[in-house]
Order: sequence, then C-alpha cells, then structure tokens
Amino acid sequence: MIAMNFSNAIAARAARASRIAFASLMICLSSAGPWLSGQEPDRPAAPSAERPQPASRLFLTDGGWIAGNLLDSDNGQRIHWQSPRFVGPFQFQRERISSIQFPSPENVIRPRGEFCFEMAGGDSFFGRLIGIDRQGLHVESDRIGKATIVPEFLQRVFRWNLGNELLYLGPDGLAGWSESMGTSHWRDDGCQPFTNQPNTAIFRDFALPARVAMELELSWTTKPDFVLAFGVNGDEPVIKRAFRMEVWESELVLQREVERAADLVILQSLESGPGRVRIQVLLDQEAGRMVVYAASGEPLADMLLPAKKQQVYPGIRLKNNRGDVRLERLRISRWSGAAATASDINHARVLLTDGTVRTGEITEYDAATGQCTLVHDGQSSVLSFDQLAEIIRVNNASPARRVPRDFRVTWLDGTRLSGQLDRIQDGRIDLRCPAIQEPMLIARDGMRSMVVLSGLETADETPLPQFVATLQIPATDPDTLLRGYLEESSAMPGASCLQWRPLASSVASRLVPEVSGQIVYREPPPPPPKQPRGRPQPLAPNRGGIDSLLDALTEASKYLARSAAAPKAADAKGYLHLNSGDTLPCEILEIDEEGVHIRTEVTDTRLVPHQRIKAAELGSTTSIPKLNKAKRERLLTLPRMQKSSPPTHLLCSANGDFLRGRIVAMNDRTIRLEVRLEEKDVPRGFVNQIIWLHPESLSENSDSPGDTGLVTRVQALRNDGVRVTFNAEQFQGQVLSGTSDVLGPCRVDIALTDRILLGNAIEQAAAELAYQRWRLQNAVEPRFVQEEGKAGSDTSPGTDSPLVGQPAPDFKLDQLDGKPFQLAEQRGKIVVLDFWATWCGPCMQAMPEVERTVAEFADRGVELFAVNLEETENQIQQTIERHKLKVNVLLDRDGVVAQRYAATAIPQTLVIDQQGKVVRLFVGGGPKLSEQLRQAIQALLDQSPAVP
Amino acid sequence: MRQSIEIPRRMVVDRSDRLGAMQATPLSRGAFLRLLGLGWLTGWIKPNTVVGQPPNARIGEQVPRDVREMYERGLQYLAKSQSEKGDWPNGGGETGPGVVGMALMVFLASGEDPNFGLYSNNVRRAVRSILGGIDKRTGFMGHSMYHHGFGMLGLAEAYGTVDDRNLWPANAKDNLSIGAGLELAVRAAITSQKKNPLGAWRYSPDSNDADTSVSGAVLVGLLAARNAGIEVPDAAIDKAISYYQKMTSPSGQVGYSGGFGGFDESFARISIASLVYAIARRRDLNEFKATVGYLSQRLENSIATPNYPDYTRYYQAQALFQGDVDVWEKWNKLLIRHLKQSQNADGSFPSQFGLTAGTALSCLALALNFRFLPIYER
Repeated sequence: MIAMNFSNAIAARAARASRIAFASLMICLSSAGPWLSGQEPDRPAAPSAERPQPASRLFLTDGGWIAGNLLDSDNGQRIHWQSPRFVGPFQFQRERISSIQFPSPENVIRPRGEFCFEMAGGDSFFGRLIGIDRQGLHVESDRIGKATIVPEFLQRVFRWNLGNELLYLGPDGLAGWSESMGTSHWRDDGCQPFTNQPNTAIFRDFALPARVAMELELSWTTKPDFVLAFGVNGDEPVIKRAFRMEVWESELVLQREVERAADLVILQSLESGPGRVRIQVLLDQEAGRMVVYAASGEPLADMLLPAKKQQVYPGIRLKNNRGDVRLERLRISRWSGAAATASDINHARVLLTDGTVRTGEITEYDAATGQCTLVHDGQSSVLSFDQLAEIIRVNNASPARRVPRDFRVTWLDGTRLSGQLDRIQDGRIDLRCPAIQEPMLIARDGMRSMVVLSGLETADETPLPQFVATLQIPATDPDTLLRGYLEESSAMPGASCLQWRPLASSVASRLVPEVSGQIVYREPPPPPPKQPRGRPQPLAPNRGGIDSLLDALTEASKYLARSAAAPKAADAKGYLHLNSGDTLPCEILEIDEEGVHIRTEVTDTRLVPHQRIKAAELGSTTSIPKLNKAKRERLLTLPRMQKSSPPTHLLCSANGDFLRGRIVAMNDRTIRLEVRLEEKDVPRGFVNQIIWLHPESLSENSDSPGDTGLVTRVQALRNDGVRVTFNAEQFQGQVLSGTSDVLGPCRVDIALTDRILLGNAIEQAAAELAYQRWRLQNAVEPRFVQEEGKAGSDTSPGTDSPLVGQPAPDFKLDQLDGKPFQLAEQRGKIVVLDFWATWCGPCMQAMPEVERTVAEFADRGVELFAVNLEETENQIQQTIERHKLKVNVLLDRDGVVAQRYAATAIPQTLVIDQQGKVVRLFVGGGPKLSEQLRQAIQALLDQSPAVP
Repeated sequence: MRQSIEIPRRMVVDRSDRLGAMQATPLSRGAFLRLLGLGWLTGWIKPNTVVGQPPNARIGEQVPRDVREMYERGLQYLAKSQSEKGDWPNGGGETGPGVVGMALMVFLASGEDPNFGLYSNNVRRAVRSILGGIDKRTGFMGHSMYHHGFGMLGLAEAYGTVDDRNLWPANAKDNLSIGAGLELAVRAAITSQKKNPLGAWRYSPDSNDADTSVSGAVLVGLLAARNAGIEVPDAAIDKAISYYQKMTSPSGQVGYSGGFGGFDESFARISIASLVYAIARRRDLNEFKATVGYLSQRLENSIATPNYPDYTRYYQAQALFQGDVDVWEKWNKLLIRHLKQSQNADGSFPSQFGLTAGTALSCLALALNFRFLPIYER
C-alpha cells in the first residue's frame, strides 16, 4: 500500500540521500573487523589434537570441500588435514585452498581489553594500550601477548566499551527475544536468531534510551524479505509507525509513516540468493530522526520525521516475511546525539570522552604519567589518557597496505590478523603480520576461520590423470566433495581398496570401509527435453566444474528414477532388477519357489532368490505405463483383510493392465498366479513386467543389507544402464573388482562407468528407482470415535460439533408403522434424535438408556425419535422386540438424513430445542450419556415455560 | 462299540511337478482387465482347475511337502519334550490332560502305527497320563472343563486304535482301560450339563453359566466319543446344539457367554459352532449355513487374528474342512504359508498357551491334510 504512495518519493529520496553530508564518531568503520560478534568459547585453551572439532571444513579453490580436523603443519604451504572419512591425512596445497571454517562454540564471552585496534588490511584485535612512541603503539592483548603496531599500519584505536555506553553486544541467542503469536519458528543457531519460516517475528526489549547508536548485520541464504523496526514495543500500531528498514522487491529501504506524513529512502539494492547487509544506525527517538550508514562509513540516509507526539519505545522487532533471515550481529550503545562535522573527515583526529573532536595526531603516550601528546600543525598539546575515546589516523596512501599476505585468520572474539603462516603446532599458529613488528604465536582456540588470500598464482603443470571424478560423502548434502581420482590399491583390514587422491592434495588416502557416498565419473545425460505442452524452459547457465556437476546430480536421480532401464545393453532378452538397484541384462528362464532362474553373460549365477529381486522385465522394451496417483495408490494399497495374505507380485501386461497376486511358478509359456487364494494361469507372452511387492517390508523390522563396516559395498552404474553391486576388493589399472553375494565375482571397468555408489548410498539411490517405488501400503486403519463426554474438563459436553447452535436440518421420513414424520412439525417440543443401527453394539447399549432418560420428561414435551440407518423394517422390528424397546423409529432408508446430520459414527444423539435448533450432539454413547442428556433437557426446560 | 480301525499307511507323495502339469491355454485377445483382480472374468486367466490339477486330485491326494516337513518337525518336538509320565510339564504355559489330549492326537494323526510305529511309546505314555488323571468316582479329569473336553477327545480318538493290552505294565492294578476312562469322562460331562441351566458348559463342572468356547471342547469330545461307539444320550447333544443355535446370530457370528452383547467377530467361536453342527450331523441348520458362509467369505481375515490365533486356526481348519472342502483347500494354503513362517527352529510353534499346546494346535490344524483322525471324517 505504502509502495503506491511512495512512487515519487523513492526517486526524490534516493537522490537526497546521496547528498547528505555525513560524519560522526561512528562512521569510521571502513576496516572494522567482526569485533561485534563477541563470541569465544568459554573454556581453557588446549591443543586441537586433544579436542577434535569434526565440524571444521576445508574449502578448496576448485569448489570442493572436506570436513575434518586441522593437523599440525611444519609450514604454511601444505595444510595437513584429517577427515574421519579417510584412513590417513591429506596434505592440501595452500594455493588450492580457499578457506578453512571452524565450528562456532555454544558459549559466548566478550573481547577482553578496553581498546580495539584497527589496522590497514582489515586486521583488528582487542587489548590494552600501554604506550605510544616513534616505534608505534605498544599494546598488550590476551590473544597475541605484547606487540607493537607499526605506525604506518594503524588506522584507528578506540575504547570499544566506554563506561556505560555499550548497552548490548550480541546476539547472544534467543533469550530475551519473544516471538509474536507465541510460535516457535525461530531458533538459536550458534547464538544467532534464525528463521526460515514465513511471517514470523521476534521482539526484544533493550530498554533503549532516546538516543542510541546501533550496528547490525543480517544475512540470508535465499531471497531477503524482512522488516526491522526500531524503537517499538510489542504493539502493532507502534510498530507500524516506527522507523522501519524493509526489503521492497530487491531494495533495502528505510521508511516511516506517521499520522499524515511518510518518508522513504532507498538504502541499497540487494541481490537474490545468499547475501548479507551490514549497516550502522543512529536513532534519536525524541527528535524522530534516524541516520543510516553503510559499514564502510558511506552515508545512506538521514531521515527526520517526528510523529505528532514523539515517544521513546524500548525495543527492536525483526520480522521475516519470506525466505530466511539471520541476525548475525547487533551492537547497541548510547549516542550523545552530537555528530562530528563534515570537515573532520580525512584528517587525523582524536575524539574525547565528552564528545569533542580534536584534530591532530597522538605522538606519545606514557602509561606512567597518564599523559599523551597531541600534535597538530606543529603545535603540541597535552591530553589526559583517560579523556581519549578514539584515535583516528589517516593512512590511506601508505604503501605498507599493499604488503602481500598468505592467510587471514579470524577468531570468534573479533580478532582478525593476516600475514604469512609459518607453522601450525601444539594448538598455536605462527603468524607474521605486517602490521605487527613481532612474529606471533597465537592460540588456535576460538579460531573461526582461515582464509587464503593469495590464490593460485602459477598454473598447475602436472597433467591430469585420465579418470578424474568427484567423490561425494555422503551422496546427498555431502560434508566431503573432492575432485580427484582412484589410485591402485587392495582392501585391507580397516581400510577399503578405494584410495582417493584429491587434485588439491599431494598425497592420497584410503576411504574407511563403512563410508557412504558416490564417485561420479560422468555427469548423467541431461533429462529428456519436455515436449510441447509445457512452457519453454530457460537454459541454465553452464557454470562448469563442480557447480554444474552438482546441478546435474540433483537431476540425475530424477532421471534415473524415470528411466530405470532407459539405456539398454544391446540384445538383452530381459532384465532383472534387484532390490539393491542392480540391473542385469539376462534371459529369464523360470520362476519357482527358490527364486528366478536366469541366464546372463554378466555372471555365472543362475538363480537369484526372491527376496533379492525387485522386478523382472520379460523381454519387451516397453516401460511400465504411467498411472495417475489415485490409480497407483489403489493398486498398491493393501486392504486390511488381506494383511495376513498379501499379494507378493504385480503383473503388468503389454497393454497396460495390472494384476496383483502371488506367483507360484513360471516357465517359458505360462505364469501360474494365485489371486485371492485361487490359482490362475497367465500366458507369459501377455506379461511385460513382474514387480515383486515384498509385503514383508511393510512390517517395521524389515532388514536391509546395511553395512557391516568390514567391507566397502559399491554399486557401479555402467553407461549402458547395467548396475552391479558388490564388495569392492581391489582397484587395478582401471578395473574395480570384488564379490557379490548374489552374482559372484564382479569386475567393472571405470572407463564404462558413470558412477560408483558407496555403502548405504546404494540403498538410498535404489529407493529412487522406478521399480523400487512400487511398494505396498497398508490401508488406513479406521478411527473409532469413542468420545465419552468430557465432564469435569468441559462444563457442557456435547457442544463440540459444528451443528450445535445451528437450526436442525429439516427432513421427512417414514416411521416404522408407516406413518410419515417431519421434523418441522415438532417445533415447540424438545426432540431427541438418536441415530442407530441394529448391528451397532454401542447403539444397542445406549438406546435403552436414552429411552429411559427421555421417558423421565415424557409429560413435558420431550420426544425421542430413533433414526435407523438403512436397515429393513423386518430387521428393525425383530431387534426392537428382542430388546423390548418402545421408541419411535424413523426409517432413514438411504442414509440421507444421517448424512445431513454428519452422523459418520453412531450412536449419535442430538437434542433439538423448541425452536428447532441443535443444542447438544453426543457421539459414541458411553456411561455418562444419560446424565449429560438429562442435564441438557433439564436446562432447556428451565429456560422456557412449561409447554401447555 | 467300535472294534478297530484300519490304519492307512502313511501317504508319501512326491512333490508334484507343477510346471510340468501346466499348459498354456488359448485366451481371448486383449483380455487383461484394467480393474484389479477381475482378470479372469474376461478370460485372460483361467482357474487352474481347468488346466492344472487333474480332476481327481480333490482331497488329500497330494500332501504338500511343506505340510509333511512342518508336521514332522512338530512331532519330533513333542516326542522329545514329553516326560516319562506322558505329560509335557516343561513346555511353559498350559499343562494338563487337555494339552496331553491334543498332543496325543498329533501322534495319532501322523499316520504312524500307534501300537508299533515310531511314536507308539509316546502314544501309550500320553494315554496313560490322561487315564491316570481321571477321578474314578466323578469321571472328571481335573483342571477345567476345557481340559476335560480335550482330554476326552484325545481318548476318543485313541479308543479302538490304541491296543489296551499293551498299555499298562503287566502287573499294574486298578488301571483304567481307554474305554472305561472314556465312559467315565462322558458321564462326567453329561452330569455337568444336566446341572447347568443353559444345557452347556463352563470352566467348572458345577457352573451355572456357560460359554461357547468351553462348551465346544466338551461337545466335540462327546461327539467324538459317540462316533467311537460310546453311548452319549441324544438329548445331551440336542440340548448342547440348541444352546449353540441360540448363540448363533443370523449373520453367522457366535456369541461368547450370556445373552446380548457378545456378537463380536470371533473366528474361533464361529468355527466351533460350525464344527459342532457338522459333527452332530446338523448341516441342515440355518445356523450351520450361516457360520460356514461367514467363514468362507472372510478367508483372508482370520489367519492371523490377534485373538488366540492358534486356537482359532485349530477350529477353523476343521470347520472349513467339514463345511466346504473346496474353501478349506484355499484356506489351507494360507495356513501352510502362515505356519511356515512361525515355526521355531526346534519344531515347536509359539503360543500364548505354551509351546506344547501351540505345537499341538498348529499341527492339528495341518493334520487335516492327512485326515487320519476319525474326528476328521466327513
């Protein structure tokens, strides 16, 4: 709505925003590190070898990655890395590494030391300032010890937590936040509030004073669409009138709408896909002003729009409209309201704790006297150290900034240091940082990431081996994805014969035997083009490398599922599909009790037992006809009565018909099938496919092969559609060989192989195959309504039905004695309708009770009518006589009235008042029925005068 | 009094070459039917009675190998686990003359010669165990009328088959013969029925109420005794049958005890009622037809009923066999398939009544395939 009103304002404001001259104490953030996240594990430092962090991940420049642990390295050029998926460690070449990410701990502690030091090149750390002289700034820090900052590199020093100025530094989890509507769609993800649920909001009361400075960072993985409201309480009207940062289409805007005015500024444009925004906000709630800067210090907006009665509200609210959003950092501090003047920019200066700005440089500080010397235009003056809030130097032109660096290492407390990595040892890293004079030994504890800064500089000269593939572990959502190749090897205890050499590593390592994943040699063929009916599909840009491979893989399972036997080996007389996904071209000779007898060139095996088989194709090349969902479900639903005698096979005919049954035997001419306990013969030529339904898998404890951990099961997917599963024993030349318990010895040439599935990925992939999805399903069990009234908890039982309170639907029915009956004629009386049938035990138990209860009110205008559901008069008469009942029976011969009264479960007893309105509806009889019925009738009689 | 029954040789049937007997049948074109399970209506599949089995292979000519193997293993389990005294004290669950009677019938139904065959010693021990438990004054076998009924049935099946002369040691005194024991047992059952206002039986011989489950045990025992030549008053049978008629609803369901409220679906009770009508030669009754109809229409429902499954199958096998042998043949396949999965490695069958009763009930359900017991005669 607002967007409509603002169509003009957008352009005007955007232009205006760029004109605003900004300067303040908060804008000098050009090189600020992540010093606001303030997270560090609250535990003693220890060498990483003793405390492995398996969630660490190393990312490679080729797009691959590997989970594992960083090991000690004697130089920075080879990073040693141990993955739990492999027996031995890899040695990754530095220039092939993109970054290493370490897991976030659960505990949070603040940075230590009163000052934050920021240096050229993005480095920063926290500590104490112990002196300034010509050599530079002498500092002491818990993280790096005593150090000297080279003057040319210094950019800014400031007291980051000045007195009471800091109001909040976080985020520190969801504590303190409350979710609107009481839902719990937000979660605490490494102390950061996160949600991917649409239309959910969190609010927190920060007890914001009138003027605050805030720095915040939000990120998302899909499309951003959020609203951040500043200076609010939980009330909707207040939120509506607050300063709001919102995403409009692809732009981040600041907007406010008060009584009769509105304003809007476009802050920046946002791209779709993963992203983040880091901004700085100054908010003056008394004046109704909000100033926004980018993290770089670039001014984005200065909006002054007070409401008529400007009030100070204590909180912030973040709402996710769509997609996902994560609050990565939030720092709130008091703001004096004073801003530095524009002329201050580009000059070295100091800020004092009282908010004043002094141009000049501090050349000296002596901790013993507590005095510093400020020099400006050759004149020096003395300042007290305690007055200093911030020192800003302008070193933009310094050539020292361009010193090359190998790594940037960041810690969770906000320390960021870059330089040359000499060694990793004993839980410490040796880092030479150009901004620091001394070489440093820094504890790895609390490390967040290591980023390689100088990438691949020299082209790799070594020729690639012939069969390069991508290893993924696990196959979906892999924690390890490595380009590389298999090296020759044989299986040995505790290690598989699959020895993997990543292209980025100078050594190979064997996979552990129980691994689950896949090796992809060739991207699967593109899915067949969709023909006419659909819209033309835009072509996906080919990004090449692993990206496109991953894209293709997600398509691959669909493709393979669609056409399980699409690429056919030539001249196959038939195919046998196993539960494990194996696809064998073979001649199917016979079926008997033991299994299927085959003849094939792939293996010497002649008999495959039933429990291993999923489907047989008897020779024809036509695939299974498509069924719509309803038909397919019907075909695969096992009725309750057949549970103890389920069909075991599904026959599919050449012309698309299906028949369920149990194959007793098959020879070259006939299939003998037991259908509902009767044996029938079907000419074999009529049948194209036979699917094994394996009803035993309906029971919960059906066993799957699973991995023993002793051998590595592999499934090779050949490019002709043949799939073979076996225990891999050796890789030699380009042949992977092993043994299958069904097929005997197996050999696979990887030159003919598209993919090799490993371990449990075989079953996962098999489950996606076309035949595997033909599985029986148990019919839904009926739910018996056994509502026995909720006396005690519910003061008026029988009022749950939507019919209650509604006019009772009128109807006409014959009575048992043949007389007609119409409900409308009963107006003025209280009518009790009891829906029943003679076959319904609970009805027959309830009816005498109902009769007796209603009889108590017989002289007060209360009538009972028992509506019988679709039974013959004779049957009803017999039952009434047997039970000696004296009720007026209405014959609902076709069940229409029961339907009208939604009597899906009987007995259903209704009370209709004198005005023809339903006041109670009881389902299921039960011991409390008569008492509840009596109360309901009594209450009606109490309300109205006695019927004349 | 029946003097003797010729014991047929145990039938040994080769596994038939089913495929050899199969022939393709010329079929109408396009005969696959789109609707599930209705294919044969249009002729693309044919009942195999046309082309498969020879027409004379109706009853018991071919005993499936699975049945023979399962039965054999069950027999061996019972033979091994029987005590010297002739009972089965270690099977867990139910013990007593009823269980011994059931197990005795398993030996008798095996086709082995009860006097000289493989299990003759087991047979004699079991018979001695039952006879030894009979109260010579009242004729009651103890435990409950369930046990009395099944013990009586075991004795009736042994009577005329097991040679009394070899039963007891030569110098033993005061031991009952099978005939005398059976006479006593029948008399106790009749006495109990006479005292019962409903003309049937309940757990205690002195009960005033009755149920269709206990009554089935006793009534089948009485009918077997009558078939064996023991005098059982017609009035007693008629009264008991009349009780069952009252407990049978027009739908074929059979109540349990008392009056209204018991008509839930119990395949065991329906089978019991159906069986007693048949053995009492009252196939003319509507109630009989209703029970047979009920069972026949729900063959696939009952095989794994959660309520007393082995007890149910024991009766249902006989009821279907007596009620409609074609239906029984179908159901029998299901039974074999089901029991094959549940038999333990030692040959026993698990049951809530213990391994002895479980094995006996399951074997006897299969024994219809051999039909050597007189009670199985149609």
